[in-house]
Amino acid sequence: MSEVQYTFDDVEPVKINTEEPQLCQILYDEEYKTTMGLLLALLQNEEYSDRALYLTQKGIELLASHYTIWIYRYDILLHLNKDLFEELDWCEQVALENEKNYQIWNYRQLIIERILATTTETSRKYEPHREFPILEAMLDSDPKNHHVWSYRKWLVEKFQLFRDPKELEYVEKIILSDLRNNSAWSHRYFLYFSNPELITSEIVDSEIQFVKALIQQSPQNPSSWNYLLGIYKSQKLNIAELESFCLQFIVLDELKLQDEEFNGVKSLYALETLAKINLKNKKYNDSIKIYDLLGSQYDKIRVNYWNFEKKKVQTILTSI
Amino acid sequence: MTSINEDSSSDNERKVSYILNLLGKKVPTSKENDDNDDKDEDYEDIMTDEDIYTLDSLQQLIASVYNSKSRFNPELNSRDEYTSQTTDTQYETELSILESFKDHPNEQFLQQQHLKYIKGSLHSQFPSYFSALDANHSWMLLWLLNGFKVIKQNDQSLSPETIELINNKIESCIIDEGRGGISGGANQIGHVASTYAAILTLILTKNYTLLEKLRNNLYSWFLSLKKPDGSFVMHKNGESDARSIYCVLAVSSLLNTLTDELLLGLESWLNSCQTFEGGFSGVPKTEAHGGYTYCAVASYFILFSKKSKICFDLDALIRWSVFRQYSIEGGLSGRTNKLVDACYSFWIGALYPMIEVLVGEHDMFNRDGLKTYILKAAQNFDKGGFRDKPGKSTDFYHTNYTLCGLSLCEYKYKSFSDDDSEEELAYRFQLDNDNDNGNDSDYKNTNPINPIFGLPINDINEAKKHFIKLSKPI
Repeated sequence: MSEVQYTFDDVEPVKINTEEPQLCQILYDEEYKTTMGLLLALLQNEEYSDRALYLTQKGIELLASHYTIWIYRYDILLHLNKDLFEELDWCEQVALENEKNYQIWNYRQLIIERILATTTETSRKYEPHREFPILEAMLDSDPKNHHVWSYRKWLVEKFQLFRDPKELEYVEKIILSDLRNNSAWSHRYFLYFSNPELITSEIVDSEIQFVKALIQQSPQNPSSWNYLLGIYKSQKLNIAELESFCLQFIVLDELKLQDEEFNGVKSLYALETLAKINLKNKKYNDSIKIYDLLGSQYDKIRVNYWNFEKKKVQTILTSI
Repeated sequence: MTSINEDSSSDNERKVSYILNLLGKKVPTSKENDDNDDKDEDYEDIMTDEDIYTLDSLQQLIASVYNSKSRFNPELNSRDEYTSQTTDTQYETELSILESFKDHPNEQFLQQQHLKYIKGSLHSQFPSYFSALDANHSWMLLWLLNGFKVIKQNDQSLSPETIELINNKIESCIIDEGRGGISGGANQIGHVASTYAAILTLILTKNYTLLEKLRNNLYSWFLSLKKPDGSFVMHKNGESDARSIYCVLAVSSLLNTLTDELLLGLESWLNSCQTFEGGFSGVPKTEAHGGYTYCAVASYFILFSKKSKICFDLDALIRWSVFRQYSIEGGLSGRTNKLVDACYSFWIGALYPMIEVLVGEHDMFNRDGLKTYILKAAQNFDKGGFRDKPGKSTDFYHTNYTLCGLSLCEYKYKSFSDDDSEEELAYRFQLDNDNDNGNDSDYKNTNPINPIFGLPINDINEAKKHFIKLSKPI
């Protein structure tokens, strides 16, 4: 788009926060002041035109987090009946240039929802896999970008991609590249366990095997432990089954535990889980002993929490 | 577009990455410190050679900062041999924080510098790259004014002229007496989060006359933003999430405009945001996150007047919340396997008193650890103000929420009883002075806040007392 195409001589720019005196005053440069002043004036005039559309692009280039411009742009597109697929392409460019931008993902959802709501012919042209490259590029540069992952979740739900091979392959790849990427684990949990109709005992078993193997690689990783414990809780499995798994990471020999040279606990999460298993198995004193160990030795910063948990067990013990 | 503006706006964009996870707002950065870069990923460049950084050097540093008199000492507790981008940035962060601890072993709260930083920022003219904050005018005022009021002080107050200028700026963002909400800047469209920031600011300036004029109009505007599923969009065609719900509830509760119609469906919507990890996500089924968890849990305190009404999984929330505190840094993170950041001293830090008053415990987290992080790592030792972590820029946002976090370390609240009061849980926070044993170490640098709103408890109580007398919308 060329700038000379449009003139705005007939428009009186509105004021942005330029009045003086003003607290936290921003000394806008002329270009910013003029662009935003014109844009907000056109918005107030409810002008839906090509020149207004052009100006929204310029405004977004100046400040991608300016939510008013995005909403105005969307209204212009609809009024002018613009090609929404072209808009998606444009959007990708803006996303790549503004990695942390927030508005853009909501905007993209709006556009896609709109495409789906139009004639079946148009909506049939939309293929959700077209989102994968842009999402991959975004997550490559910031693998824990919360907004991108939230958008990805929306996409999966919208197009029922829970068991889409490409989606499953991607989330596996990203977990394996960094076992401590909690966003990726959360997304995997969403894919496999958020939709009750799609959960089978095979999936439950294979996910438990999958995460157990990765806990072996990084026993102190809270993300993988939360995933494992999340499955046990949501699927109502008995955590007592995990006793031997937990014991691999712990040598519960009290003499050795007191010897500082010997690291008897490779995973505080295994220790914590063992305390819960002991409670479940009614071995209350063992459970209490583990909470003491956590608070006094393996996880001192949370001593108050471990005492809180311990007190719960003691309450049960005294009530028997 | 000029190249200068392009560079500085993208630079600023990077500096403000944390806040985007929270209230959808931009973080202002101090112009003195704008050469710092603000992305976690920047550590990657440093971490090219494993020799640079080893577990040994970490352990040596931990030993070197050990102080038998201190109530908090860093501990190594969650290592294994696995390495990845996450572990690399985590190690590098621990190292820089321990170095800050080492360089500032006896750091005190720099009251005068903080007051100066805040007053200076209010009256500053910022260079053009601050345009990045152009949709956040009400937020800037809230962060600075609230930070100022949270600092305990006897001799300084803001002049009537300053208060008037604050009111003027907020007024420049009000659309049609609130019928179109309140925007982030003059002539922009109304936004629920900007409205929240503006209303809280007006509560701090005690501009009840203006608030009375706005309350019914804002109520109608909020209703117009309500979706069939109960949640609220931030603005026309905007997103809806736990933040927008919290902002609507906080404003409506303070102005006494909560009605059954407004509340419809919110409880079950919020319940659906609790994740398998125990924290809450912004929208159902995404990752548990500190900012959204704050919004969701604070919302329950506004929704309910009885403890027994709370029906999310409290035990799971407690576990997730306490695991946000890290054993070397003492500070708090916003998500599992993410770095500590001083702003979570409030977003996560406020969850602890909420939990404490519900379960009747006085110490759900390590207050000394968080205080150490705030004073020895997050404090800007030269210019005042607070930052995310060492090496990052000081800004208004981190300054306010770190001060709020410090207040949460310095005060405890009485446990809630199961009485028949009709008052929302949000207004039942009362200081527990029994825990104050008068030692020097218990000296307070801050004023107590109400954890549900993050404002001084007196300002909240006064506003509540005023607006409760007005009738609710029909």
